[in-house]
Order: sequence, then C-alpha cells, then structure tokens
Amino acid sequence: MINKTVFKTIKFKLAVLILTTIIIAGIAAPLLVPFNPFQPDILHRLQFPGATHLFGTDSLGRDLFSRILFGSRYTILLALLSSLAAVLLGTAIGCLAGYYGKWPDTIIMLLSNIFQGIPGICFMVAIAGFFGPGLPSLLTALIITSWVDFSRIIRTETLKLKGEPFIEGLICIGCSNRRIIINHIVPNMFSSLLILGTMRMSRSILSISALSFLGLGVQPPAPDWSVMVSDALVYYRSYPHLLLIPGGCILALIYSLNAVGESLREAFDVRFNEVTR
Amino acid sequence: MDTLKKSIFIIGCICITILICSCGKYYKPTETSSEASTVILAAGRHLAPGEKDGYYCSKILQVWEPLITDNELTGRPQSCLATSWEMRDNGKVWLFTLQKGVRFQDGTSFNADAVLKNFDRMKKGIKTSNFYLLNIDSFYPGLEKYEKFDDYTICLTFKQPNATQPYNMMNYGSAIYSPACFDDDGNFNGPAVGTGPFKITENNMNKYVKLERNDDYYGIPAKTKKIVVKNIPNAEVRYSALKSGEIMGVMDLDAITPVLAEELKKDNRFAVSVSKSMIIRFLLVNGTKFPFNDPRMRRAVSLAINRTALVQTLYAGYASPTVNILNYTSSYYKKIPVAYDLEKAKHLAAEVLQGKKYTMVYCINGADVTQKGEAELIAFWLSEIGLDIKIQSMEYSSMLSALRHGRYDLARSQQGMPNGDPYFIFHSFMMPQGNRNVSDHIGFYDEAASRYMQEVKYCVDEKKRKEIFDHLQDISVEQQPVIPLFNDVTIVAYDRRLHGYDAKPYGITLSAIEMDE
Amino acid sequence: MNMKMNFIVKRVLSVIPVLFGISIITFSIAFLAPGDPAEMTLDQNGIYFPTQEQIEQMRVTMGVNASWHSQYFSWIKKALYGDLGHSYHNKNSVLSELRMRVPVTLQLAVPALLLTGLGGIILGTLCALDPKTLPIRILSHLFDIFLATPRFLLALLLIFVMGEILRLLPTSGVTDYKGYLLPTMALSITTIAVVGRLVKNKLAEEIRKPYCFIALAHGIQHRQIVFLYALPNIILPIIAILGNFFGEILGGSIIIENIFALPGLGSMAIEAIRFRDYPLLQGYVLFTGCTYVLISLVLDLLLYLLNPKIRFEEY
Repeated sequence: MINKTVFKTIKFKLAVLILTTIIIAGIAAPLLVPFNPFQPDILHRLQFPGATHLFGTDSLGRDLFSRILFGSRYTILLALLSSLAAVLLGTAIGCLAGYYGKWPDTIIMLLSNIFQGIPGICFMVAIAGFFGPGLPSLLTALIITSWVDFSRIIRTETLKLKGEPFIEGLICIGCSNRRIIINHIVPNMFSSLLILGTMRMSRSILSISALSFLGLGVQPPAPDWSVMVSDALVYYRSYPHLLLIPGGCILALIYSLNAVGESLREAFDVRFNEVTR
Repeated sequence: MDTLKKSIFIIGCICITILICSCGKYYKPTETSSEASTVILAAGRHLAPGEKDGYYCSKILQVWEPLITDNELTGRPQSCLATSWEMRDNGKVWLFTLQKGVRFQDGTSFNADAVLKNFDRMKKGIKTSNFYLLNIDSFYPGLEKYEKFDDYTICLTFKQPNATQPYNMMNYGSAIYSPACFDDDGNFNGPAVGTGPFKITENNMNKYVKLERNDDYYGIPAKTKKIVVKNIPNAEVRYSALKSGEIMGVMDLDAITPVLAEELKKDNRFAVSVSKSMIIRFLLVNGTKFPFNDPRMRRAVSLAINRTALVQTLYAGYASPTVNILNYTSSYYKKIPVAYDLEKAKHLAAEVLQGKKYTMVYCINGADVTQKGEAELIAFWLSEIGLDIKIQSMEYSSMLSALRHGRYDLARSQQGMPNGDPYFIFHSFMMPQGNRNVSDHIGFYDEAASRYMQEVKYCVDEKKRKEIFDHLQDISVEQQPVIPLFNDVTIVAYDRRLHGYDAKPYGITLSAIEMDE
Repeated sequence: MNMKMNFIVKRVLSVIPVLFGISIITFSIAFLAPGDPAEMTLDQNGIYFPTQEQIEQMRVTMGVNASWHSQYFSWIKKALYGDLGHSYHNKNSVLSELRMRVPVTLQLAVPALLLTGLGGIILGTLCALDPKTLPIRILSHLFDIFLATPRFLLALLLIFVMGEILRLLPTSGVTDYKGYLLPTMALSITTIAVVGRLVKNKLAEEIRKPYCFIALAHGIQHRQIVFLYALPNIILPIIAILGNFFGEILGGSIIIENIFALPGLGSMAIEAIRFRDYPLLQGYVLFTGCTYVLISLVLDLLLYLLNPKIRFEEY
C-alpha cells in the first residue's frame, strides 16, 4: 500500500518543483530564450549577471541563461535515453535469467559478474576512449555499464514473483511463457522499475558530466551543463558564475532526482538488496 | 555481542595494516622541497622521457648540446659544439671544425671520434622521441659517409648537393652525447651524458627530473646550482602550483595559457615574460574534395575569419594574427596585411557553393580547451558564408588518422619551424610531394610555386633566395594551401624572486636563472 | 568445517571465469576499436609519415594481421607471464608503467577508502542517535547535497578555496604527503556521504524492528540500543559493500588525478586515450578489473569467516 505521507515533505515538494522547472525550461527553451545560445558576441563577453544577461555571458559572449535553458534539453534527454535503454535491456535480461533459470541464468549471472568486475567509470572511460568521443560511444558506454545493476535486481524480483501462486496458476492453465513475462511479471515490477529508472537517471547524469568534463562526452557547441563547467575551467577564478551556475544546475537536478527516487521508494516500500548509487 | 567484538577487531587490524602501509610511503624523506638553493620549476610534460627516447631529454634542460644551434634573433645557424663549417663541392661535402677543450660530464673528452660514435648510433635506425623523430635520413639527407679529417674536424659526404645542410642539423639534428651512455641498440643505458651546463642527477619518471650544475662546463657556468623540473601536465594545476608557491616558474611549450597569464599578472608576486614562438597555428583544409578543392572557397574562409577578434577574445592578445604560412621568427618573413572582409567572403563562397548550404566536419584536439572555444567561434563565422559546421573533438592520434585518410574538411593544426630555413615549410605545404601536403590531404599544387621551389633549392645567393621566398609567401597568401590563423607567442610565468627568466622561442634558458638570496 | 571449506573453495574458483571474462572484454574492445595499431605505433609524432610498406611490415611484426582468437591467445599467454606489451607512445613496458603509477593511486585510494568507511559509519551513526536535533538534520541534508555533487566540481572548489585563496594546502604534488590531502578529500567526500546515508537508513530500519522496541520497553536507552544492538547487526553488510566503493574510488581517481595532475593510474588512462595507446589502456582496464574482483573476493571471505551465517548474493 502506498505511503502517501512521503509526498508531503518539503524535500519532495522542492524536488518536484525543481524537476518540473527544468523540464518545462527544456521543452519551452526556444520560446523562453532571450538570446541565441549559439551566437557569440565578442563585445559583450565575460559579463557578470545583470539586467540584460540574467546569468551573464561566457567567454565568447554567449548568453549564459539561454545556454542553461537549452542545455537542460541535452542533459535530460541524454540521461533519459540512456536510462531507458539500460532499463529495457536490464529488464529483458533479468526476466530471462529469473524466469527460465537453469543455463540461461548461469550464463547471464556469469556475464553480469564479469561486467560488474570492471569499475563503472573505468569501463566507461575505456569504451569512450577506445571508440573515440561522441554521442554513440557515450551512450554505448553508459548502457554497457548500467544494465548489470538492473538485470540483477530484476532477476531477484522475477524469482520472487515466479514463486507466487498466481504465476503457477497461469502456467497450469497453459499460458505461454512470453505472455506470462510480458503481461504479468513486468507489470508487477512497475514500481520497482520506476524507482530504479529515476535513480539510474541521476547516476547517468553524474557519469555523463564526468565524461564530458574529461572531454569524452557531449561535444561542442552543444550547451550541455557539464560541458559548460569544463569550458569555465579557464575563467572561473575571475568569473566564478561561469562555474557556479551550470554546476549548481547539475547539483539541483541530481539532488531532485535522488529525492524523488528516494521518496518513491519509501512510498512503495520497495527494498533492493543491491546497493545502488 | 560476539560478532561486534570480532568485527571491531578485524576492522581495527585492517585499518592499522593499511595505515602502516600508507605511512611507509608517506613519510619518505623528500629533499626536493626543503633545500633552499634549489629552484623548482614545472613543465607540461616530462622533459626527460628517458632511456628509450631518441634524445633522453629535451634540449632546454641543457644537458646535451648540438654541433649547430640557432641564432635566437635571426633563426640562422649558429656555432655550438662545432665552431665553424665549410661547404665544398657545391654542398656535396661539408667540413665541421669542433670546439676544443670540451669534456663530457663523465670526464671523457669531446672530439671527432666521439662525434662519429654518435653518427654510428644514429645509423642504427630511427628512434622515436617525444620531441623530434631521430632519423638520420631527415637530418642528413643522402648522407654517403662520415669520417674524421683530424681530431677536431669531421667531414660529411652526401650523394647530392645540400646547400643548406647546417639548417638541417640545427639543435635536435646534431645532438651529441658521450659514447659511453649508449647501449648496443643505440638506446641510453642510463641518464644522458652530454656536454651542457647541467647534468641529470635523478630522473623520477613522469614526476620530476633533478639537474645539477656541471661545474666543469667550458662556457659560462649556470647561475643556479640545483634545479628540479616537475611534470605537471595540466595548465590549471601549474597555475595553482605557482600561486601556492610550490613551484617558482613554468617552462616549455604552452607553459601557461594566455588567460591564466593575465590572471597571474594581477598578483604582483609573479611576472610574465613573452617572446615570439616558432609555432604557427592554422586550419587545415581538405583540398582533395569539394568545396576546398576550389581556391576561392579557401580564400572565402580566410576572409570570413576575424583573426584580430579571435586573438583578442581567446588568447588575450598573446598571439599575432597572420595569413602567411611562414612563421614570423624566420628572417625571410614578409609582413602581409591580415584581411577580414565578410562581404567579399560571402560573395566568393556563394560562387563556389552556388547559394547552397554545405555541411562539413571540423576536427579539433579535444585535449585543448581553447581550441573548442575557437572552433565554436569560427563555426559561427563560417555559418554566415553558408558553411554548416560539425565540430568533432578528437584525441591526437584519431585526428592524425582522420587527416591521413582525408576524413575531414577543416582541422585545427599547427606547425613548428624545425629550423630557420623556410624551405622546409614551403616544401611541406606547397609541393605536390611535400610531407604535410600529402599526408593531410591538402591537395595543393601550384605551378609557379613548384618552379620557385626548384630554383631556390640550389640557390646560394642570399638576395635571390630572399626574393624567391617573398614570391612564395605571396602565392601562399593568395592561394591559402592552409588557412593560417596566428603566430604563437611563448609565454612563461615566474616568481619575481627569480632573475633571468626570459621567454625564448622554445621556452627559457635554464642556465641564466638566478634566485634572490 | 567441511561446509566452510566448500564455500571458500567455491568462492575462490568463481573468480576464475570472471577474470577470464574481463580479459576477453579488455582484449575485445581494443580489437574492435577503430584505427590500425601498426599505423599508430609508427605514427606517434605526426612529423614523419610511414609508408604503406612500413605499415604492412609493422603489422606482421606486431602480429595484428592474425585472427581474433589467435591474437587473443598470444596476448593472454604473454599477459599470464606479466608481459602486457609496450606502450605505443613512450615505448615503456605496460608493466613498468603500471608499477610506476599504481603506488600513486593507492596512496590516494587507500586513505580515501578508509575515510569512506570510518567517516561514513561514524557520521551515519551520529545521525541515527538523535535524528531530530538541528545539526544532525543539517548533516543529513549535507549527505544529500554531497551525493548530488559531481566530483570535479567538488575538487575545483576545494582547490580554489583551500589552495589558492587560503593557501592552506598544496594543490599539486607527489613530493610529500601534504599534496595528497586535498585529492583524498575530494575523492572521499562523495563516498562518505553515500556510506553515511546508508548507515543512517539501515540504522533507522533496524531500530524499527521488534527487538529494539522490546529493548526500549525494557528501559534501555536509545543510545545503548543503537550502539549495542543495531550497529553490530548492520555493520557487516556495510563492510561488505565497502569493496564496491573501492571500484567507485578507482573510477573517481581518473577525474581527481586529472584535476590535481597526479601521475597515477587515472591519468595514465587519460594519457593512453589521448595517444590512442591501446596496450596502456588495456593494461589499465585489466588491472583495475582484476584488483576490484580480487578485493571483493578477499572482503567476502573475510566476512564469511567472521560470520558464516551471512548470506551472499549467488556467485
């Protein structure tokens, strides 16, 4: 039963507020931006926050506020895309392992042990490094390193569900395996998937920002927030707003995603054995 | 209860073991920072890559010396270990007279035999290096034999005339080491031993290299007894290290970025010194395919780039805009006005593109943050002449391979002047078989340029050479085989307690540094 | 005893296929990666260009024209003897490069892991003691904030404040222990927050269990319950996951070493990427993978010896 008190805390409300603001900002960015986020203006470079430029301008004179608005699109879309892919892949593999057991399970567990054997960021850096920076290798790196966490959890959940009488009943009346998995097992794990997906998103953003910071992630001139942070590196001593504003945005986004995930978890009272961070 | 005790015990054990292990490493006695007379500097790479490197260490550490060096002002050959030279047989034979009374740091004396042993070593094959490839065929093209004339004269014989041979062997081309420090394969068997004012006392790979004054130096001795050059690859960290007093100066190429240099100037503990650099930065264009196979398009791009604004914006003025492929340190450099004319650029581009948009790939080196900003700026300017640019940041080797296989349209690149002779540059970029022309798919061919190059190759008359090089520069500006952006400026920054810390085209002169007592 | 041995043997043996798998992955990504290793070996300085024949010849000498499996087997055979090949760009053997880099990273990672464990457990327990007071509430909010801060942001702020403004601590350096303080801090703050929050939540959960209620009903103080009953019960699982954080810290050290310019494993990886130095990158992945797996193994065995009743996720 859903524990609704969690949704009444200030933390949750704040988090939802931040998330909606960011999402709306991302969707409506073309309507909201006061300046073209890609257009340099050399005469007005490196300005501090003020009336015309709400967040100031960057080293090329581009309006930081407009860039932040546009940047939310990249950040959120990328995180959403990679998390979704990881959830789908992880669920498919986890269900397979948990439902069929026997040798598919053994193989999948061995595979996930292997993939878990290499620390996440190291693996990501290696993949992005080997295949060259860019969106495809960034997404590949994120998905390859994150499906394992999911598949393990989903496998345990599937095992639990498989023991339930209603599934046994379905098997008895001759329901096909595929039907059972798609129509009965997956929907029953929906809340877990939602929570895991939210948490995954915050982790993805952290990973993407780390890779972008190292120059292995999102490529210019995309105004991704972490790219903006690494662009600010040269200038932040005299113009700290260049670092603090995009950095603060990343922080706020991850904070609210974590908070929402956490609240959902408490509300649905779902517990995972694995440690996810 | 039992579990708690047990676990606390085990955790305690682990902690103590780990603490002991790590402390053992922590409290190693370190002399580097404590000695007062030691000057600690930093560079962006490890300047002594060690035994497997063709040179062991950079020339600026002043451990080894070449036969011939370059004059800082004119870029012409200047005597070093060879005091004079003489051309015979139209440049087929060269005689070099060696400095007398010089000893290597290990006590062996420097003479013709030692030099020949160095040639023997070069003959053993190409050695890679972090500085320049050690390849006898490029330093001594067509070398037939090398022999000693007497104890202090060596004689080189070539298959074909080499009128400008001293240029070829400047600095890295004629590095001389004590024969005792080579192993059988021609690698070093320990720290390099040269004739220079400093010797290496410790080389901690990738961390630091310690130098000590060579008190038996034949020339003016170094002013500082001990120098440590740390390797701090990140410019930001070098800046922080200067600020916090861990190091007293930065050196080598790209010692400090222009923006950080400006930042540092605000603190009166530090000073910045600049000098012309031998490096020129430019945009490579893939001239083997549309649209850059059309010289009008290259001119359009060149005209659409506001170099002055670029240099002011991203390099804080620490660079000199240019349209000339020849670097401004060369004595043959011709000053040509830098044009910026957007209207004309639009017009030219429209002629080539016929009013259509064209999407192209612009490769940059991802490791360089400034290149990114620069690319964004240039991409914006070029969008105004109908070019839709995709910036692709790559690491160094992928970039090389993209260039090599022509998988690019525009690419940011650079070229250093290995010596003061402009022939190298023009040959490389403008001759059909030129190194960079071929390997970077520049696809440049100009009949007049080729004719001039043939002419200048065997020309020894100074005035005539100058005239020809002037023509070549004019052609390069007109045709733009590559699109030059600016000539670099060497910037070094140092603590004001140091004296003699002056920027030179290739860094600083270590032996001139002196510290306040 | 027999069961014990059985478990240990099984657990140790389970590592072998994992290590084998890691080696396959490591090798394969280098194999699949674009670019010709022969060309890259010959072509590291960009000044002189190898001819097609030279490249062909290099391919033969390097054995890169053979098929995937034969290349893999010759690679793994050499790797088992400790020969991981030579770096393309500085020609050092990968093993000697690792030997040079590993101590630097360990000097970062080991104190960071210690800090993570101790700091996390202490702060987490503190939170559970009296969750209602203001400082504690601030602390638990801090956990949430640090959890959401990218590591590089934290490191930059630390450098800016501690190094450049206050000039308290050096920001670069491998010469003395002080140089490691800032990086270690930057490396461990996030993980301390993770562990702290975990301990806090676990303790809160534990205290809600019936046996704690009964203890409370018997008049035992809240403080005592936390220390004597709840903490011992949750501490083992916490230690069990510390191994996971070792991986996290190894990963984080890439960014930290890059920012503080420390010549450790992480900066080796970045250098390898910059020069497309596949052998070096392979060495890196193989090394971190194996270390991580072995550390988890040791931790698992240790915990099992402490409490054989503990149930592990299947291996």
